[in-house]
Amino acid sequence: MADIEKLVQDRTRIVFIMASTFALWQGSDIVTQVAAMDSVLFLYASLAKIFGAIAYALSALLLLLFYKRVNRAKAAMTLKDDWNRLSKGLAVQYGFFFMIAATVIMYAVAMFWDLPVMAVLQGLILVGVTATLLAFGILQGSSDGVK
Amino acid sequence: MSTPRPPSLENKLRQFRVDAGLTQQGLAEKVGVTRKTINTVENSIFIPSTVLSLKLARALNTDVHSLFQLPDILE
Repeated sequence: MADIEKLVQDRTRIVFIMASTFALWQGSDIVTQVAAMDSVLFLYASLAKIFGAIAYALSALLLLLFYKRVNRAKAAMTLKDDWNRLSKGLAVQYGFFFMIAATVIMYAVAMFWDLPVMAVLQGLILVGVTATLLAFGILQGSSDGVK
Repeated sequence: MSTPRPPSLENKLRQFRVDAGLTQQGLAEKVGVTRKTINTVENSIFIPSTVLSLKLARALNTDVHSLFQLPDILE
């Protein structure tokens, strides 16, 4: 049997990479929507957005290659075990909680500043997706002492 | 996020596993789960499903009731 532990660790790493590249891509896109087009901030955000988009696409490719490895090793059922299923459920709960929190914050901010609707919606998606992925990665990858 | 919760099930999984001379990885391979699953069950982070409990008992040549018990309710 292939090294399951290695596959679990690799999956955790890929999830963290996907979360961070997604956050970079979408976060910088939001900044380009609100920053003045002739500002330095807009320039840096544009570059970060391009870099983030490419990095996220590459991380998705990494995930695809990872699952090909899993299929070759016939380890799919092992990787989808009880703890994995529980982690996914908990991760979705955390993502939902953080998305609700972000909605409340944006609601409060909107009382003082006009916020572009698309940027707000994009921000909520960013928080929901990133928080879910990070939560899953942390639950799967947390160290546990005695082996 | 992985803080252990108060156990609502007493379990002797670690004791049986050690007595059988198995590592967590070894038991995980016998049962068909990841080492992390064995670790979280041993540390009472989550309660195993019925199927997993039966698989663990079979892998350790014992019965489910020997591995897992309800805690005594103090009056």
